[in-house]
Amino acid sequence: MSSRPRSSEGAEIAAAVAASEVVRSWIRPEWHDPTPLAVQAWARDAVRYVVADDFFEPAKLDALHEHHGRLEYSQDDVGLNYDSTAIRVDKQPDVVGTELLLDPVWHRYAAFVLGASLNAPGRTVVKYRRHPPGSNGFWPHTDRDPEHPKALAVLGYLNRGWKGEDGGLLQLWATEPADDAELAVRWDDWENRELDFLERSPELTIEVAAELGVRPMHARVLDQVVPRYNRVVFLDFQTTPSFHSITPTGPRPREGFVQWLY
Amino acid sequence: MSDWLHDKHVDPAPIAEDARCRPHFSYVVLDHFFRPEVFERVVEGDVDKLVEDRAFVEWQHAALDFRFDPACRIRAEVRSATPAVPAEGRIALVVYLSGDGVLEIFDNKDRVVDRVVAFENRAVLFATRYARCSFTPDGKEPRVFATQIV
Repeated sequence: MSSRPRSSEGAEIAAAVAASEVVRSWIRPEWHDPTPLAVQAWARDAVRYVVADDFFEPAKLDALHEHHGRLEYSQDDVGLNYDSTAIRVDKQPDVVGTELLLDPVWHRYAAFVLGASLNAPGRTVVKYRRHPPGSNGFWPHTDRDPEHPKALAVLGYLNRGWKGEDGGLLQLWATEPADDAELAVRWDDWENRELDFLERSPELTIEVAAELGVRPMHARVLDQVVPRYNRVVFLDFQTTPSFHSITPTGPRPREGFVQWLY
Repeated sequence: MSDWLHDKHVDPAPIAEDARCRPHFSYVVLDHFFRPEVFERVVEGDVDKLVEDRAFVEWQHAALDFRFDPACRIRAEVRSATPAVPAEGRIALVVYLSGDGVLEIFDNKDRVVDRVVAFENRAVLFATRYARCSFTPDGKEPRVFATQIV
């Protein structure tokens, strides 16, 4: 098992949450102490992540959801195998939710959960995201970026009553290097196509989108997360590359947000 | 059900969606499983009545085994456990009461797909027909409330 996070630091952060009017008003009391989330995340060797349900206070998230529905979205990652629309909101303090997502106590909380060091404290990018019905999905990739090293991502979901058959599952992959000759799934073959192979194959030899471009890898799915309302996923990029993907979306739009810390 | 389970777990529909979406076999992890007052009652159970459980000797645990109907068996109080695969029941529910440890869950090629930490009042529900898992104590003696539906 990986080393464990220091519960004394978790207690300090819980106290900081309790002292922060903003953060306290957003996070439900049972999650004020991030230690259990950290212990669970650190126990996972291949992909360091953890899922928290019923994470935000319902009234706050309802307000974010209502605001989310009134924003203007545009196609994101144009020309790449990541099909969604998004709007960047971290420079818009009037957008509901940014009061939490820009708060340094929240940044400290998220970093502790994943054991991450924030090398650019205060720096964050937040996108509210919407996958329209029939979206193609996201190719297996890491968010590691050599120019702007991301420490972690926080993913929040806004989809009530979501079912597996609605698609849009977050997939987490364990990977090992493969030879190019073994490749069965190549990036170029799937441009502007529904990534339906993600729904069929728990193991692939695929060109994953790695830190320095596509690389052949043996990949197997470890987990698939339903993007349920008020579910939050903390995903590390410092300890593990955390290759992840999103299956194609069915007839419902898939809504949520992503936040990166650096 | 509502007397025993936390309000957020009474509706089985979202739990079923999570279980069905697992890529290898169905299982689900449920935090804050029992209502707080129920959890306290279960934790305060009479450990003096525990006896060596010969039927599951490979699990190295003592258990209080009582049945309230022919299809349902309850075991309690794992004193220490070694890796094993539960095989008797078709569905197993394990609720961690105290102690430390990690439940490792394997795919059909014996590769770890998940490591679930044993937190107090955290439940793991899984289909034993397909599950391959082991529990490794870490420090304090774990105590577990476990049922198998056969």
